[in-house]
Amino acid sequence: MTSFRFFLSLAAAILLGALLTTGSGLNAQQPPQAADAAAPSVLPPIIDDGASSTRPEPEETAPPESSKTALDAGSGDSLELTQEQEEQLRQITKVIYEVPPTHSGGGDAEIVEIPLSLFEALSQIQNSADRLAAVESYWSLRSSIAHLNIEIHIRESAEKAAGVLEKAAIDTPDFQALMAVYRVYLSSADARIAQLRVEIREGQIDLMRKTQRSTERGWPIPSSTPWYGNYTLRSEAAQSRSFELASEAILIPEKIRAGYASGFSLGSPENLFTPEISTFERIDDGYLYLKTLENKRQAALGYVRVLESLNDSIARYVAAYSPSIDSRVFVTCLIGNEEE
Amino acid sequence: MASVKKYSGVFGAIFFLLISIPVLRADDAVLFDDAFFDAEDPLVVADPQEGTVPAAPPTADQPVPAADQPAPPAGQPAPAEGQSAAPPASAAGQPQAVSREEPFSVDLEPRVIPEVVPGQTEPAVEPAAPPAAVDAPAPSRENAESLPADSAESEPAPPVESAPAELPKEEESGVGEEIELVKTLVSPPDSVLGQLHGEPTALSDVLEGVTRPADRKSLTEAYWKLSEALALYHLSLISAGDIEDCITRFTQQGTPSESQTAVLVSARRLAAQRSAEAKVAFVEAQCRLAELRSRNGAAGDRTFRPAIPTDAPNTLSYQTRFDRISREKRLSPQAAYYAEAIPAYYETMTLYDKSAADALEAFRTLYFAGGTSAEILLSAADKLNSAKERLIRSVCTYNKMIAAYVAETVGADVRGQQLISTMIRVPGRSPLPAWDAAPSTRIASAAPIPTQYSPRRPRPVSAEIPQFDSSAPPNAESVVQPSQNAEMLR
Repeated sequence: MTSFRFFLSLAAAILLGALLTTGSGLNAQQPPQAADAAAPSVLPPIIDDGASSTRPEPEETAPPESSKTALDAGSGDSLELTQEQEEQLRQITKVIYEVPPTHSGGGDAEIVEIPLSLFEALSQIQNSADRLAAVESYWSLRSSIAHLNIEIHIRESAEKAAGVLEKAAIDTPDFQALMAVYRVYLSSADARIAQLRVEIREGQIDLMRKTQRSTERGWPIPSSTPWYGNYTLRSEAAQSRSFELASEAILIPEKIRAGYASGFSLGSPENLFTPEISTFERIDDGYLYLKTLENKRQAALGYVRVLESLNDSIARYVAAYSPSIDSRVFVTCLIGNEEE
Repeated sequence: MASVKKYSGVFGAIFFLLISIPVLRADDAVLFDDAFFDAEDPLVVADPQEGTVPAAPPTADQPVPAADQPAPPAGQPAPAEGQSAAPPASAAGQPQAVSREEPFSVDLEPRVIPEVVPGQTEPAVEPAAPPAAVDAPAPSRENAESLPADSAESEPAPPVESAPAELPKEEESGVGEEIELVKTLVSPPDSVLGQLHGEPTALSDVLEGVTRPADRKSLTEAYWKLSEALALYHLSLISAGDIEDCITRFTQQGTPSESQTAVLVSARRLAAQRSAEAKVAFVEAQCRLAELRSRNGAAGDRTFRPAIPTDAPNTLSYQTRFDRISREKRLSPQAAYYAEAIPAYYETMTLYDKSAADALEAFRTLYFAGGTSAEILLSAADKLNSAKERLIRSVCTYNKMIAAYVAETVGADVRGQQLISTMIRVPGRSPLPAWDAAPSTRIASAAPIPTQYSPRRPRPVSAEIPQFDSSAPPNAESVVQPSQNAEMLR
């Protein structure tokens, strides 16, 4: 118990020191109004934008023994990216999180969709728990839309390949079997897309309820991109405060690494949804194209899953770290300053 | 002389009878065997070492401790191996009917007691069996399985010097290689463990000092979830290795085509992505268990300790002993549910086991078959991975069910290795109940155990990852030709 109190005291001292030494760096990332509003009792973690020089120096304070193993867990692989890697990941994320049409155009009602940033979504929420629930709803909807985007692109690629194959018009059972496989793949994609559109509507309703908004202005479409880069936790001082902080401090670096691995596994941004196959020389090539397409689909969905999980973890970590933080600072701690 | 002749026939008959009576008595003794003596004098049994000792016939709710080994006090861990009450040598690996009959045939007739030789179990001193009327309920499936274990438990055997002789060999017991597969996956090599962080932790470490059944249940479930996550992470790396093997296969056959290159590269990237996700899932499970341990740990011990599980989950059939326990204690509907569900889920698990073996066989066949397309081979690798994943998840579910059943049936007074042995095989302990219960912990004496060996026949398919023959030199046509596609696959 004595050691626990000692760590608490130590944590408070470190946080105060960190506020004094790195506060300017944090403020430099924030818009003026956010800086004015930012007067948290403890300094929240900040986004590490990689190229930025505002990242605070590593604190020299030794972590508590109880968390040492956990901290060591994050030291195996570097979380730093080169500029080229960072740019590649940014491009990949941008393509994956493009917003496609979320409705099919059917039905009588005219559907109006409005972009909704994370800050706007949280602007009317004061309670910390409600804010956290709204953030999770926001990222869940964002993931569903990214999922839809992936499915639409994958379907387009499959349809295009099927069109090329059909032109060959080979009248053999093997070829007809291949075309049947393509038709099954396309109809499955259609079903998934229709299902996702329903899920997106449900997600929008859930988000509006949790952000205390109405549909009068239209259906919300999350416009903020989830965080995918390195993240400075300031975990040394935080881990002794709660189990949740300790857990997330272990998990976030792992999820960042998983995000890197997943993102880079997608290959070049130009070919995220298109297999690098230029010609069909044999019937087998048609199957290989479809298999490659499916692998790409699975990998892209995995990337979206990892980023959603990472951003939920960051939200929980920030909420536990600074429960009374202002909404704008809270959002800044989650995704940095969005380029308007 | 005439009178002699006259009576010689009578004398001959009397002489013949005098000679033949002992022979008939000996034959009768063999023929009547146990039932005969049991019916004549059920209160006396012959001890092979100490002569004759009185034995009160136990009832269902009154187990009798071994004559030469007093029961330990309540809560005291069972004796270690070599000192524990162990089942007869045949009990673990032989058909159950043999084990069930043994107490009668061995103990009541000294002349049929086998000699005790080093490395074999000493004959047990068995009290008389309870009357058949007491065991009136017809044995259900799990009840039937538990019968030999029940007798071994309520009638503990004397200490043995070493247990290995009584443990069945793998090929005899029917412990299939897919069980070894699960064990392999939950016990990764150092090369895999080196990528993880945490303290090696046994299930007993997690449950140490935890008395509330609900807490035990949640902690045990979290432990198996962590074990599952570890196995899945290990599996993801193995699957990535399978993909690399496929790539090697196609590059050895010649320059891969553009389509083959594309699909192999995408499969490799997907495997890397899945490994990354599996590692995150493992760390999440670590955090979940660490948090539960911190909350349930002993007073003052609130250390947050990520763990690496060292105990393998149970993959053998499980004896719920529901009928026996329910005679001694009122059990919840949940316990009744699990008593039915656990054997049923064991069957499910064995089907997943078979599915994984079939998928492995298919993958190996396609791998070695000439002319297999990349799409088909990769699909087979996918199916193999999925089959193994389903098997692992089913094993975790099975063990969670067992944990839930134990929480419903085992009291707080059972702790330590005794508690662990109700869920998994404890290394170094007899596969059959090896702990005695004092009267105060009588319910524990009827605690469930997980250790009935599977009667399944071993399968010919190796549980190991296919070892491809690298000694065979490639033929002239299969020499790799450097090309752009080959470069991409490096």
